[in-house]
Amino acid sequence: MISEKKFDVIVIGAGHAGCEAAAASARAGVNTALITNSLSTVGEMSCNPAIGGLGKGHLVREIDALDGIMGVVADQSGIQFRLLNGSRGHAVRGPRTQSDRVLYKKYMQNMLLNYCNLSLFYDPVVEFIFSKNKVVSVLTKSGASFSAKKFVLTTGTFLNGLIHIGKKTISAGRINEQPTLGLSEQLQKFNFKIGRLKTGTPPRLDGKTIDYNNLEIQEADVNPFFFSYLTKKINAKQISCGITYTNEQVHKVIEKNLKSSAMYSGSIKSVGPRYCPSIEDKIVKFKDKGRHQIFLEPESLTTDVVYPNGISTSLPEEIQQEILFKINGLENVRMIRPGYAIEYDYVFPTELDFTLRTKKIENLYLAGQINGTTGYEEAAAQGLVAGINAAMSVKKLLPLKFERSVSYIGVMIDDLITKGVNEPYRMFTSRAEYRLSLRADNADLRLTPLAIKNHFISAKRKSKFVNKINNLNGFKLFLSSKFVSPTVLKKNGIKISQDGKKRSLLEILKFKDVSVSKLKNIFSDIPNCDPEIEDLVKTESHYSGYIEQQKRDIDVFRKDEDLIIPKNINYDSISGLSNEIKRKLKDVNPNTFGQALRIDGVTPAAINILMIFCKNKLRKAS
Amino acid sequence: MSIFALATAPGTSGLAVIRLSGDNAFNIAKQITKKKVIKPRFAHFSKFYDLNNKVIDKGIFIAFKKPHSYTGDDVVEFHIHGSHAVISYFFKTLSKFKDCRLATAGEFTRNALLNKKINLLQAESLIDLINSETEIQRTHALRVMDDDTTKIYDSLRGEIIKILSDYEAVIDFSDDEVGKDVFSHNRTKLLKLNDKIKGIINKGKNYEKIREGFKVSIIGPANSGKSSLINYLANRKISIVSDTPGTTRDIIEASIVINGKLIRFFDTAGLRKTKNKIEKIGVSLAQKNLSESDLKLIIFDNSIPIDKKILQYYDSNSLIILNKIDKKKSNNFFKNKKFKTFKISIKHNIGISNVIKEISKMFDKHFKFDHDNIVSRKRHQKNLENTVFFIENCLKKKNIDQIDIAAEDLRMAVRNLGEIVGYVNVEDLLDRIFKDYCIGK
Repeated sequence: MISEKKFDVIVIGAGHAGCEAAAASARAGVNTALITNSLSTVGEMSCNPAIGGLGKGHLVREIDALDGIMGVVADQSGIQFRLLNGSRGHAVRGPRTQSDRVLYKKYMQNMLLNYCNLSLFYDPVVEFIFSKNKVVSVLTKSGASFSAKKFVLTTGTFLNGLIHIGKKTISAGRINEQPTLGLSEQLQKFNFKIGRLKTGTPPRLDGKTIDYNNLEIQEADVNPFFFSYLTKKINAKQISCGITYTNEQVHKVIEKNLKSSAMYSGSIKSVGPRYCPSIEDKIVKFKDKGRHQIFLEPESLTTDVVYPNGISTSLPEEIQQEILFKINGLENVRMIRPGYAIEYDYVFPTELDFTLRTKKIENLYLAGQINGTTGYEEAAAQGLVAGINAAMSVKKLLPLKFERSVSYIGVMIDDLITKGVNEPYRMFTSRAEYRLSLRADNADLRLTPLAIKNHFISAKRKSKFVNKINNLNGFKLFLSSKFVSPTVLKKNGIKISQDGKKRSLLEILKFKDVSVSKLKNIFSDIPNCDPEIEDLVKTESHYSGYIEQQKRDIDVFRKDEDLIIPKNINYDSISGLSNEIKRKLKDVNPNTFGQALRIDGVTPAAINILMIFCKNKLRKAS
Repeated sequence: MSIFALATAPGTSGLAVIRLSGDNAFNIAKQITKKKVIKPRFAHFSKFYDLNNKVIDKGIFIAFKKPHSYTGDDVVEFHIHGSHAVISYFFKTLSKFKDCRLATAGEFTRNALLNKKINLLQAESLIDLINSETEIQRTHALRVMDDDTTKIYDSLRGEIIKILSDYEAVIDFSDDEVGKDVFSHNRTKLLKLNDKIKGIINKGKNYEKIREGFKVSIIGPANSGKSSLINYLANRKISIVSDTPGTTRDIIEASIVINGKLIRFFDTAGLRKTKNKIEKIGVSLAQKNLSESDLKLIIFDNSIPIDKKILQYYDSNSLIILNKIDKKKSNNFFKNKKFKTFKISIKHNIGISNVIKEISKMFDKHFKFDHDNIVSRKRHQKNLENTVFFIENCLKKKNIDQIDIAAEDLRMAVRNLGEIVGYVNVEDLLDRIFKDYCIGK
């Protein structure tokens, strides 16, 4: 008889989703285990050595506002901080940093090894043990057995992973790592809908063999915008990137060899992300473009590996090398390893509820790429949602619902479970209908109260937040209670209609050219404040008109979200619903009328019929 | 489940049509007609039987296989004799079938909407079509219901979405080489779109006149014959006529159709100073009605001097009517060339047809019907105006730094256009629409 280890929550897989899930569960105060293949790959960045970006940066800020770990680790290992869209409005600014791959792993592992309530095990999980529709335990390769109340599965691209390089195929999870086989088949027994997706990665280059002399150079921002509200200063040395371009010659080689590309020879049938196309795709689909941009991003301060961002490919190895030689700056480059495409299984996310729990196995949660998403940040955010909710469920507390009117996390979860995915899902700012309200700068105002209320936040962060709120409110109160006349403003160079009406300083901040510092120059009694708070107040004033409008929209949205659809509705018994709509409603089994309305193809008229049906049902019941 | 209802108007008639729609419509029809095979879109002549094999009636029935039917489900239409007894017995028979019941108000159309046979815009115009009283109303409702109208709104929306996606690309892919000249690049396109939408609004300015009819207020001093005129027009007594001034206090309405246009006449309280409380309210109602009217008929008694105070209401949208020309005495006001006057006698039916001709002419002059008009509701008008407002707001943003709020403006524009055809936020609209429905339509 093998000994069995018992936990409240077991997280399988220690990529970005797994790490965040394990930390969240442990932070919520339940006994948590993280089981993965080996310690050396915990916190691995399998593709681009960067965290954040547009939409993605918002997710990381939100994770941090919920006391998650990704933001802190990304800051510690950040080697080139850049705020994307930095010159544009706050709502569309996306923090991003290149992270040192080695440091990222190191800090992530340190963090997890010292996390309260969390134990790590390095032993591949090979089998689930079920009792009816519950997982009771998992067996590992070495023969150990782990039991728990809740399980979070975060296998990334490892489920039946298959790597393609030209016509060569290798069964693998990441290059040189074994895939996870068998679990997919076990899930299939529960009739989970499983599909196949594809993603790719570029070749890696030896930085010592790149000639940067003729290349454009992109520097880090002088004043970095950090992911974490806790970070105050840069930890690692900042580096710069080179920028180069493909050219006609390169395009010719690719066109000539399209047939030997795994993606174009027909050996890959699954769908890849449209927004992260391979270089083959770019050349076929955008014939008119004479060149495509390539960022040469050093992966680490301590290695020479360079990640050429923009030329992900599945062409044969020798063709990849041929192409590289034709690119400016790469004439003598050494390719450390070729790029590849990878196909993997994913579970249709419509199989999940808003806590990311599967509908068919009542104590199993799925997070990350297994749900059809792409990207570290998307994975981590899901990990947090699954981890927190697994813990809440262990504690027999109400689940946490992330609303799309409050966070990008909410937008993503709702999109996944309501609409499903047709291609790897990536976050964009354009997915958020309340974009102007959901900003990277106010992530803590939106989400930290949730972490405080549900007790999964450190004392340090909590007191910092409470402090900030007090300062913010005090500052706003001062500005809103100090009134000035238009004549005074005019004297000080602020153009305003001379209507004799006195306005508060807070109102005056709404004007485009009025900044807090400008006001300070005029009114010396304005108290000094954290620049972060001054910036926040100005941003809120700047968007105030639009935010009012969005608030009204959000109220309407909330009304629909508050209308709960009773459980166990037999959609087949509702007359007037077409079979197609019945099927869609049965698949998603929406919680609220708002969610039902967002299912593709479900018409408002169908919702109307559903409402009448539910009303009648309630009337009969009472 | 199948549903049924009378598709023709209730009441005794030569023919009545009962529409049956749903999964088991064909099976029910087979049992009622004892036909083994039913050919779609074919007029079968048959006896109709109840469940005890007794004949209910005989007539024509036509079957429509889904999705090629009004509701998008299987539909059978029974043409039976339109007597109350036949209809109610037929209903009784149908309700005895399993999973077959009387339709609720608007249910057929709702199913059509649901099966995507029609969209919100078309559902609305269908109500207009069913309720249309005049030729112009009818052709207009048909025009709005047409697929082409939906296409116009869809293509406008599509074009803005296209521009918006340019904006969003600049936001979400700032590191890629996407156009920083997105504002200038799209400026002309947006201006053109805006002009197009403004054009639609302009053409639709008179949509309410078509739907609701032209309002003609009849005003004048007490006892000048306002009520007599409206009674004459309505061809029946709807207003009490007496020799006592101040008889009419409420507003009385009569509608007539002239040359395909619906014209609504309003008889109002005589405009005079009064101490009677109720009459006072009547006078203020009359003044309010006046401010909303498209045309004023100012009617005077030709046999007594003109009340100069009432003459002040005269403007370019007024006609002056001199009534009671049968009386010998005349105030000779018709000689005043400053005013356009019509001499009539309601009592003796003199000159009234000239007045009606003039009214019709004035409407043709003032309210040109644009047959391209596709705006039929206030909410369409409002949505279009909002769209223009947001596009213009967007155009004000010239600096690329403002791309976030410029995109927000376009998002709102897209949403407003979408609401016309019914893409978003339409639950409450639907409620309102289905209240307008009557069973079986």
